[in-house]
Amino acid sequence: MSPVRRGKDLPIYNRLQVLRVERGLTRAALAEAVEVNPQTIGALERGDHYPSLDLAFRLCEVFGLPVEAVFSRHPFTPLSTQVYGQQGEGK
Amino acid sequence: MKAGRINTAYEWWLRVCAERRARNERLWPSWRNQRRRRLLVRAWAACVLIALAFVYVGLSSVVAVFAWLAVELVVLFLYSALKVLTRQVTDVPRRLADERELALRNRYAYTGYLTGSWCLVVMMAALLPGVASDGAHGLDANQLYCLALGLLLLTTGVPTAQLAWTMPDDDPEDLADPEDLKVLTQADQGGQPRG
Repeated sequence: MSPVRRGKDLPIYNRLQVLRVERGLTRAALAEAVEVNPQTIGALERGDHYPSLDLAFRLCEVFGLPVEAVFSRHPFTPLSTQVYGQQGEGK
Repeated sequence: MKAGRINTAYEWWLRVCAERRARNERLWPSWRNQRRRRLLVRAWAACVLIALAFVYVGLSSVVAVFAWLAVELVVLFLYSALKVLTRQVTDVPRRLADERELALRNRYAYTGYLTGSWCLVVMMAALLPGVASDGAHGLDANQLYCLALGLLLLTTGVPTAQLAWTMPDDDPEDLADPEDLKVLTQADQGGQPRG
């Protein structure tokens, strides 16, 4: 769906859906915050569209997180596993 | 002074477009899936082909004229329906579109440009026998009119049809009432009961 040509083996994963729900934001609210249409947020969450650098920074600003916390070249591990898995290792 | 008037007219036009988009956003929810959009695209393509077939039939009788007009109206209706179901992305003004929609618009407008170029080639080829023989051979005026209008409908409709064909199903969340979603999201956030 994303119109820009990219290497097939280099997808961009994101945590938008998890972060949005965690912050209690609807798609429309997030869309309004970054000045896009709600359908674009849906397309980003599904991985149908890769954001421009500008939009990626705007999204990260809403969540107050660095880019690498929201977007990655590799699939994200679930947040719960990341948080509680590390706690388990520490014990 | 003139530039000011043009700007005012443009702002008015943008407002009209934005209102129309907002009005059509959730129209016909049961048709906002790929299967039904593709059904409409097939119907649109079939009607355009029928419209083009009138080049051979001609508009010599009253029945043919009315049949031709009916087909043109069906094409226009299907085209309008496809525009509604694709959120008019292919001809949305630049200021109303976000980066994804602009990318889609540019992508499909290019297909429209290519189709238009080839339609002009067809039109030139259709005109050639008449030009070469000083009107003695080739298509007559009403046949050429049918051909020109058929090709115009094809060119204007191809970007929207292509987008409608490739668009995935609309997400149910995009079609839901925003107020309902606010309640659901708040409940999800705090784990509160939804009652």
